[in-house]
Amino acid sequence: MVLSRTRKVVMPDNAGYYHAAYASAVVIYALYVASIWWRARRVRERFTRSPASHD
Amino acid sequence: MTGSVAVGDTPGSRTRTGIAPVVDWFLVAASAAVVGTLVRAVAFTPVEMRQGPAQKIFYIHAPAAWVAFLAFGLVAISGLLYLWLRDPRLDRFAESSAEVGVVFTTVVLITGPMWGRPVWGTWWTWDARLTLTLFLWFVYAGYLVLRGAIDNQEQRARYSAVLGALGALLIPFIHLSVYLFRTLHPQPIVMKPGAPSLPGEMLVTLLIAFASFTLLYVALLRARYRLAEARGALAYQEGGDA
Repeated sequence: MVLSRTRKVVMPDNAGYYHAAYASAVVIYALYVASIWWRARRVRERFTRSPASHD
Repeated sequence: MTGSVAVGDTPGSRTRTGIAPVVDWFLVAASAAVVGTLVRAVAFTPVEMRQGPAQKIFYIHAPAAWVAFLAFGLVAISGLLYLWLRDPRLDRFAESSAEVGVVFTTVVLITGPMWGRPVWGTWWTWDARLTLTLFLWFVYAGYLVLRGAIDNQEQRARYSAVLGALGALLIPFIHLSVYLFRTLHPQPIVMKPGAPSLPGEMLVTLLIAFASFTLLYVALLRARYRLAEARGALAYQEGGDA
């Protein structure tokens, strides 16, 4: 049997890993933006409730 | 009231009651730039034959690592400047940059194993690059915990400035660890002494990703800094420490 000298490279099917990685990154950034927004909202509420803000 | 909290620490600026919005057009624009980068990476950048589609993780993993190093480097610089100038704005900047840096390092630590599993055959290995990066995450997570544990504003700023500066000493070790130790992690293919060893289309996508992630860092830093300012103004109004 004669083996070919040129081996064809078979591309692995692993797209699921990068889909999961991209989705994870988007979720982490979105959660962080939401956390900043949430904390700022709480500060704003405390600010308006504070007696000094009515001066 | 529609005024905004002014930068600085003067009593006059702190008694204004409005707070600038933390989520604004700049953050939306930076997020759109990152989404555009991901679309280019997915749809318009060739697939690497040997690693397969998983190689596309590269376009978020490497830029996130760059931004994490940038963020922690700026924590160190602003912390050292705080120790010299005692300007509370530098402390707020350091705090904001550290928190954003921890977020980007989290992305690095999550996307790295997702790339390593199909390419190396393992999710994690305790080699120098990976272990030091995890250690960097713990150092700056500890930095944020330290800040939460100290009530006195001046003391908190001083202690965290020292920790922030010391933590950044890890960055050059992490970058050079692939040269200094045996590791599964590949050596740099762009940030290295010679020319980048990456095909043109992939290199362009990577450079766009570096730019858009840096923009996202600036936008998140800006939003987080505004939150720190608002907290400072509130603390001043309530008569406590920021």
